[in-house]
Amino acid sequence: MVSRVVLRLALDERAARLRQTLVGRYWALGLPLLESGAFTLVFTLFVRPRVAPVSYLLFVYVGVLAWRTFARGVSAAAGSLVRAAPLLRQVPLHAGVVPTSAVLAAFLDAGIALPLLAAGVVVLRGWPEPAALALWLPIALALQIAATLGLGWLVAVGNAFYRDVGLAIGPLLYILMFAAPVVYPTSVVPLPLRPLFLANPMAAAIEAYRAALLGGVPPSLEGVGLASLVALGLLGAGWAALRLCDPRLREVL
Amino acid sequence: MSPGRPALLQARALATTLRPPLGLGGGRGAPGFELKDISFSVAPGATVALLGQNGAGKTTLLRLLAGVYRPQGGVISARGRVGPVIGWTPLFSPELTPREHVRAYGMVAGVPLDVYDVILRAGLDAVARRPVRLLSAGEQARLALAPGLAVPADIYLLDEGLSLCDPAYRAAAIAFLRRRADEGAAVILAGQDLLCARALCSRALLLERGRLIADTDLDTAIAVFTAPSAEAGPTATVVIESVEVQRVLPGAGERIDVRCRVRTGPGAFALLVALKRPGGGAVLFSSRCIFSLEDQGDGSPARTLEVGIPASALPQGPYQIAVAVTDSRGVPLATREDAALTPEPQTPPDGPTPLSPLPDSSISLSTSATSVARSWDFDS
Repeated sequence: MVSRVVLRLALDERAARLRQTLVGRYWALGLPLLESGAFTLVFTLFVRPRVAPVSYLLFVYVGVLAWRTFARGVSAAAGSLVRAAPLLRQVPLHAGVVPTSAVLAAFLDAGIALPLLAAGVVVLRGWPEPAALALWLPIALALQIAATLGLGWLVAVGNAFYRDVGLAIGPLLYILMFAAPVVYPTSVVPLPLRPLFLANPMAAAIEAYRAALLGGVPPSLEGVGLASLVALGLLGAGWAALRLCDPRLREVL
Repeated sequence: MSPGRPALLQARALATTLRPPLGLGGGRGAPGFELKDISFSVAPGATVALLGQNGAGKTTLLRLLAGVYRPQGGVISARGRVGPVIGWTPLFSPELTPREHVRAYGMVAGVPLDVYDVILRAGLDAVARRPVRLLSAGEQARLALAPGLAVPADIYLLDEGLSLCDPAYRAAAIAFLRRRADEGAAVILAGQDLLCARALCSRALLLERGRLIADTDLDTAIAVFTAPSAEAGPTATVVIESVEVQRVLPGAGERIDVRCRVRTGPGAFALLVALKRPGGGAVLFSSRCIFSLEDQGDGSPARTLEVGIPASALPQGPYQIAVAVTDSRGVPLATREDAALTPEPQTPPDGPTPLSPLPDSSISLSTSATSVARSWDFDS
């Protein structure tokens, strides 16, 4: 039942966001492509990576799509409780449903871009290795879902009490994007910093996506283990924050 | 509560404190709004008005009863399903349509609603696919009420919403709630609309600054609630000089216009018009308009005010029209119940039909069972 409520609210959140738009749901397809194109242009023109622009475009598209979904989910979750104040002040609905639906809406958006990604992978790189796909795709998804939900719950509760969280989260996520292997591979990160780098669950998730889809170098097991711990920690902290603050947060929305 | 009928809802020593958030006067030790020592019970079939000035704690109490807020002290025990708090604003994004609102409301309330039926009953079928932000305030109020009333409940909790709806929908909502009360449900109506309270409720809880100061019959509670406070100024003299009733033909809007000539001193007032059964029966329609008169130095000025009564949603039968003028706090200053209508008029082809007042008569409405359009029929 709760899952149906989450899905309904997620679909309605998307419907509300896309109302009175011309392009509608296809913004979710166009924006990551546009962003990836811009990165490709800048990096192949000025930084000159040792890969062909088309391969780099695909490489960066995987990272951008994963990061955008994460960032979109977290920032939508941040404002979700405040936006849902009328609902939460009249219906005894579990508060966690609201940020969860905001995160789900971000994943639904990403689903629009998946066919383009799949087509790009098959056309430019050939069919992915089944074993790599079966191993790394679930790991990447699990890391991303746990990190997005955990951080989303935390910032939603934080923003209910202090609106600074909602104001800061967008710029912070933009800065954090450069601390994740979105536009560069993990191999360029200095070795001493790499464990810290891979402790970011999204860093490990993006590397795992690339290993699954593009046959890239997979993240180390230590890196995945550390990222899993951090993601589970975020998930637990977010859930605990919701459980502890739920009665009180409705009074300050 | 009558003996042998266990309470549907009981609150014992209910208490909570709402503190503003940090940065808005909140924080540890900061004074907050305190609701304290609230004890009452509600029997099946009870219709209870929750009265109190702004900030008295009515909405907070409703949210505690609905389980939205958790009490910091005391106990709430409910037999049967407590409905959500039914307010006056739609609960979801203003970008969604009424259809999407109703569908989502049913989902979060745990009851699949017949979206089409709810939209139709709320009279929103013409705007069902339009974003809610484009709806009028009255339509939004109906959208806030309709799905809440459609969710089956044993205890209905209403927060002001009825006052903002148009009279026809308000009458239909009150009729629905009375029917549910007859079937054994309980209704708690919070607000300051005394006409709505009189139309629906027989008992009242009176809150003042977070304390329950009276749990009594409605008339007594209203008398206490509307009693002039020591700091209030002298009561204005108000005279309702005349009340005229005009029938507007179905083709021109299906309504009855009530025109009142009122003489008052300077100040802000409200004109209340109620349509009720003869002999002091239930109010089936009420409308309110706020007006003010400036002191022009030439004695008490007079003013003519007009209220339209729509024909829709009124069942067949005789009616009387009662008119009252209250001050800005809702204290009645003058009332008149002798407004009435002549029998079937000489119908002109278009425009309003003037009807002369009679000393003691009533208006009778008849509706066609097979047609949505109302046919009006007057007898004395």
